[in-house]
Amino acid sequence: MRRLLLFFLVLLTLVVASGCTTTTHHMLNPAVLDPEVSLDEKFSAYSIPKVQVTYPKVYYDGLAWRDRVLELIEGAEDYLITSAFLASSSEDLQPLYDALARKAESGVRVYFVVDGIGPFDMTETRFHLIPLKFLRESGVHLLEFNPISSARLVSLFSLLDRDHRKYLIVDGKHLAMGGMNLNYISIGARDDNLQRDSMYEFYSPELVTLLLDAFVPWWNEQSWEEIRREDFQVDESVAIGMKTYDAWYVDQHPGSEKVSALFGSMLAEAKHEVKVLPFLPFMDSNMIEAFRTASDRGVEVQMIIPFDKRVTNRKGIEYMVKDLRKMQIDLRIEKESAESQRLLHEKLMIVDDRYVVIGSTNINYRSFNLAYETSLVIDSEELAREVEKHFDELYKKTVSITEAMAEAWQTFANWPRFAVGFFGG
Amino acid sequence: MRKLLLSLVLLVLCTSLSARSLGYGVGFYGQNVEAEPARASSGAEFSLVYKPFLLPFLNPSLQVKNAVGTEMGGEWVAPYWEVGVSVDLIRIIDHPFNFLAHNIIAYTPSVSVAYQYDPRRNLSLASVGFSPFKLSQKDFWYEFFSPFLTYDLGSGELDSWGVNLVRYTFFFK
Repeated sequence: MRRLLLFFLVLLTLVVASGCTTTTHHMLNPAVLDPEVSLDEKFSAYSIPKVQVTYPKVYYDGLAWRDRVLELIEGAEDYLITSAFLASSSEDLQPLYDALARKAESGVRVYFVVDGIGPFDMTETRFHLIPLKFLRESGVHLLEFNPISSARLVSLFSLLDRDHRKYLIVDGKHLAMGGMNLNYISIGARDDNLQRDSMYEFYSPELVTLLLDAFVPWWNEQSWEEIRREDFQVDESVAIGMKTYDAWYVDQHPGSEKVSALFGSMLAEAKHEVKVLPFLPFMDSNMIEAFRTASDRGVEVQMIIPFDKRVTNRKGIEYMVKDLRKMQIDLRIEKESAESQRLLHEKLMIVDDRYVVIGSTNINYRSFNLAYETSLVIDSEELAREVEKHFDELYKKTVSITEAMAEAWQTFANWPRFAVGFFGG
Repeated sequence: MRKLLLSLVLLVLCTSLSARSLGYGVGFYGQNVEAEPARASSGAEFSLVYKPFLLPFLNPSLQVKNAVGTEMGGEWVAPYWEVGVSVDLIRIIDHPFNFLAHNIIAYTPSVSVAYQYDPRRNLSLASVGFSPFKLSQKDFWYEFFSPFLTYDLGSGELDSWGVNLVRYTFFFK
């Protein structure tokens, strides 16, 4: 009897432990670091597909992006698919969500994915938050991914798996992805609560096809409202006659090594310069080693840590900084100022004035191991120049993090904040 | 018993699993033994579940369960091990309980039959159960107030009856 009980417990432990693996060692995989292997070959080895994308329009202003989303919703004729980690309505966002409801009522198929952490939004949004369940009454197909409830505590560490993707597809034609959520602080606030972030809108039938190929089975895995891939058409003509650029797309799932391979490959590809906005840089030792390896090769790496007015997050990151300094890079933090009160939520990597990595992926343990993410590498010197100007403007308002600062910040009192941020940030 | 359990685990591991077909559950049970009221017990019930299909009618699943609880005298016991089949009779999406969940949840009442072994009495039993308040999502089951009866396989007489007050099952693979 005891043996059987032991067997049962071991099996359960294995099941639970299988959800806690790390993939970041792929950043240091010899095949990823090999300078003789081309970027294309590295991505192929990890089944990271290559697509063509047009030159993106970049939105740095959440309110401008909100207006554009509203415009895209109003123009939708067949279907609209959107995914956002945090999404909720508020007084300022009511016109947008009303438009979405109206579209669904008019027969446009609307599929809306929001992560289950949404109702627990602890940002300034919580003072304005209106849950989105009302959208169902209008026929919006709303899915809350991995909801959090007392019953679901049974799922143990699987509760850590979150859908962090932010993208929008309209009628198989319009496509956007980036870092902006669909809540008050991302696209609704009119004061210094509005985050600084970015969204990229472009045309790419190939990428829309990839997204739909992944979305349909993923949706069917979660929902009783099953859908068919053939019911979502792609406008193949939308980019004809437009200049396109090579791009590589990762649809990251929890436990997948793809994002680790992508960022590891980009760091290995760098010849002289890497510029990074990591958002919450809660990195593990493999990630730190990957950046240090690039730095050791003579690559100048600049990384900007946002000033986070949320004390818990800021103190957690400050605790981490002593370890981050082991990367031996130009590690900066934004100066506390009126501007930096608006949280820099952007995620970005620019490599050698040529490659631009965008998407929802924070450069941290959680995004690389425990979340659904999107990452897109765009090979465009023009785009790199454009976003580099933006990065350099941010850089001007930063200070270098010194050894003394790092020593002072790594206190025992900050450790719990670091631990929460590492797995939950 | 061990061979049977091992065979089931091997079957599960060797089968090409579709998404979300393997799960584990935790519940709270109470059981009364007809002939020996002192052996009445209550406590936690743990289960492993394999559901290979998502049929709208008569959807079957394999279940292995173990209960751990305390008897009337306060002694810790494992009153039963169980291997059996549960069948969701019907799947209804449009029902009045949808307000209970974040996402659309299906009403899936189920019946079960199982072989049950009581190690305290070295007794083989047949168990039949009914889960009238079972709500299902593709990755989660919620079950409330599920009664069960067990019969002595030798005599065919009613041996015990009980109820699972609540059982949550999470499908991780």
